[in-house]
Amino acid sequence: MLSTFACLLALHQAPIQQPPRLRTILGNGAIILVDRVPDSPNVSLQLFVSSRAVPDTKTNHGLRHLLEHFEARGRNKNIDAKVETAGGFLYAKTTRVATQYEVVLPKKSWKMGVDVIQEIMQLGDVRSEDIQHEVKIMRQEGAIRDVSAHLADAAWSAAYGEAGLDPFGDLGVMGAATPELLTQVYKKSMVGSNVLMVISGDVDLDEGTQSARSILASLPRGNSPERPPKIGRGGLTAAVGLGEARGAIVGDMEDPLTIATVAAGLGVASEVDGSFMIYTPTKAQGMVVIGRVGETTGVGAEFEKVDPAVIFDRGRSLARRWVRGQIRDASGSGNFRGQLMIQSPSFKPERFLDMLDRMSFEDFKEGLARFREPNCVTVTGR
Amino acid sequence: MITLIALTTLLANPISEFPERNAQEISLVAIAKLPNLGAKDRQILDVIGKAITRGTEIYGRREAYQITDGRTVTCSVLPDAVILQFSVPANNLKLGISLMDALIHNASLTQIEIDRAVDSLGRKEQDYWHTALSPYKFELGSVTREQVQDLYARVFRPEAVYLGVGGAIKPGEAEDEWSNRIERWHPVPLPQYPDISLDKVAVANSSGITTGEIRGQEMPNGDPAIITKTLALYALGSGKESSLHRIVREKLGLSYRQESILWPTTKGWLPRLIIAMADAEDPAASLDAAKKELLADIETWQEKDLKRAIGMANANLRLGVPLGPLGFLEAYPGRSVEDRVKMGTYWQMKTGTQWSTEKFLNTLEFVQLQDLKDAATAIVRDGTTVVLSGK
Repeated sequence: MLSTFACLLALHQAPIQQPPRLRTILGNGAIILVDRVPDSPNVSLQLFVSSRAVPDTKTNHGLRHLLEHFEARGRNKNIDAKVETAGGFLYAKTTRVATQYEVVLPKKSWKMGVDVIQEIMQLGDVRSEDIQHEVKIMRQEGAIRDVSAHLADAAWSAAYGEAGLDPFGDLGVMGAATPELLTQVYKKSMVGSNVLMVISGDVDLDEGTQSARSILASLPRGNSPERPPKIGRGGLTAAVGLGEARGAIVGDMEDPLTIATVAAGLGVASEVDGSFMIYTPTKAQGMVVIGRVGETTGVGAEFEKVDPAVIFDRGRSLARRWVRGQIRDASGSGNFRGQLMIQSPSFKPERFLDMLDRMSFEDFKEGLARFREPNCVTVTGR
Repeated sequence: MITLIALTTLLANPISEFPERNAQEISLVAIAKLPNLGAKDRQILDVIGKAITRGTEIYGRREAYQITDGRTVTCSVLPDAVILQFSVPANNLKLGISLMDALIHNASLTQIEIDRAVDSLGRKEQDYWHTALSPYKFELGSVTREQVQDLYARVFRPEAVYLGVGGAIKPGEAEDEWSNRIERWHPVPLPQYPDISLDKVAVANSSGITTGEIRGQEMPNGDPAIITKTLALYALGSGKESSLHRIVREKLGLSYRQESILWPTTKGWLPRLIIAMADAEDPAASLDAAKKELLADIETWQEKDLKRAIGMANANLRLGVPLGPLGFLEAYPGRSVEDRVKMGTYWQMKTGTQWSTEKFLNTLEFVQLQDLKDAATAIVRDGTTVVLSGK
């Protein structure tokens, strides 16, 4: 009777309201973010391995990307079969900021994702012939990269030189990699001070945090110092593939002028049919690229002639929608929050929205000026 | 006049509504079901697809932006349909429907916009994937406004257009708004001698990337085996444990991207397995080798392969993972209101039935392993191989 009463009492307790998200920094420097997305049918688990520990240089260009291909297979090479059978999927990508692995799963199976991330964190055996086989596939990957990526890469390269190397990498460097070299990159990268795990979905904050802690706490602390940002410079450059782009050089994502530049870019892009924007928020050197594939005129001309007063409200509205669009579901929220947090542990997407609310017309004009010659990088693709 | 109004109302398809609680915006889609078109008409349709979003006689481009609050109006031309889509803020249903009405009845389609579209289509280089999917080249030197207006009126006929509205709406709200407008719709007569010119199919992939394809037999709309065949396509070419990925990419190292597609045609569907082969020395031989390996692989499929295919279909349709045979529509019901409205309206147009992700996925559970293997074998074995050389 007593136990029945206790049970009934427990059932009638009001659920404890949890905050929307919980960030935890472990003793080894690893960061955990659990991001509650109520009613989300899926849970997204994302591991970010910062590029800080092994910055891209001409001599190691592409090794992070090559390593991503091996780690995504997992130690036992059966991750994809497990995840896909459970109705989920594993994504992996390498950006200038980080290498990123995402397991998205139905809510009921989310804990499988913790095991999957753990398996990804343990590099399996890699043989020289495996590297050669993988580089053969990556050659195919490189060949089919779309024109917008080539345009953006050309803009980065022109503005920042070696500090703006593309995240795809150099097939020659990757082809010459040895298992030992890859293991070195892995050991330097997979350290507490260099990783962040985000669990985003309808999960309990404490349970999510404990799950992530169970796989991250044993990592060595390591050392991944910040590099001083390089100052970019405008100019003219060419790229592979038919298209055109303007790259606006921006700095820290926490600078309000950065999001004003995004707003100006989106405002102008809305005047040009078929245009695209590429911007990954960065703490150090950054670039907002607006371009168009298949055409070589229109984008640049629009930036030079546009009246900022005409596109100010629209640009702000589009930038707000861009930010909200990034975080509209569990997967997007985990991705965007993770990208920001791996660079600056206290920075949140909501800060962009605050900055947009406060953005003045002068800020907007300054953002627009960054897309104009000679401040910008003008890319023509043929 | 009364007879014409009654006829238009009778011919028009019922609007599909997809109200959703907590939605922040309203998504509108209009899909025009296409008849068989000759090659020339199809190219004029491409011009319409490019120029139609540039403004209407009622709303200019800026006014359209005000209605959508800066959201873009998109138009895509598929082999079986033209799809117009945009979203508006939650309080803008009336203006949103008015804009859609203007787009399908009063698009400006000025000669300047037409010339610009012709010029752009003539110069545009499609990427390797789109070229593989639609290996036709735009070859019209000029198109007149009369040609465009004539086809525009024929394509957006009352009986061909399917309107879908979803998101932040109340049931019946969009229907009331739309029915007032149907009455003003004047159908045009069909041409006595329609264009029957033939497409000139490209033999090269102008992007520079070679693509190979195993093209299965076309299945008619209403094919009772469509569920089994669709699941066979998930098993063959969706996900990293699919046969295509394991064989073509991991084993043969032939390709980075390879996918299965259920391609729409005016009569039904075409199962297609497409492989990008950037540096294959003998693509035809590589494709033949891949075909043999695929057939041998299907023989080895077990219950776990069936379960993985069903799992992948769930990931694709329920979670919005953008990999699946229906990817040509770029609408993944688990992803967004826009995608649900697009998929729901397209399915209504294509099959005459309501789309239900739950029902579709539940039906997959009844597929037997042997049936799956038979369907996959037939797609690959009876499929023709097509190589578009990028060299």
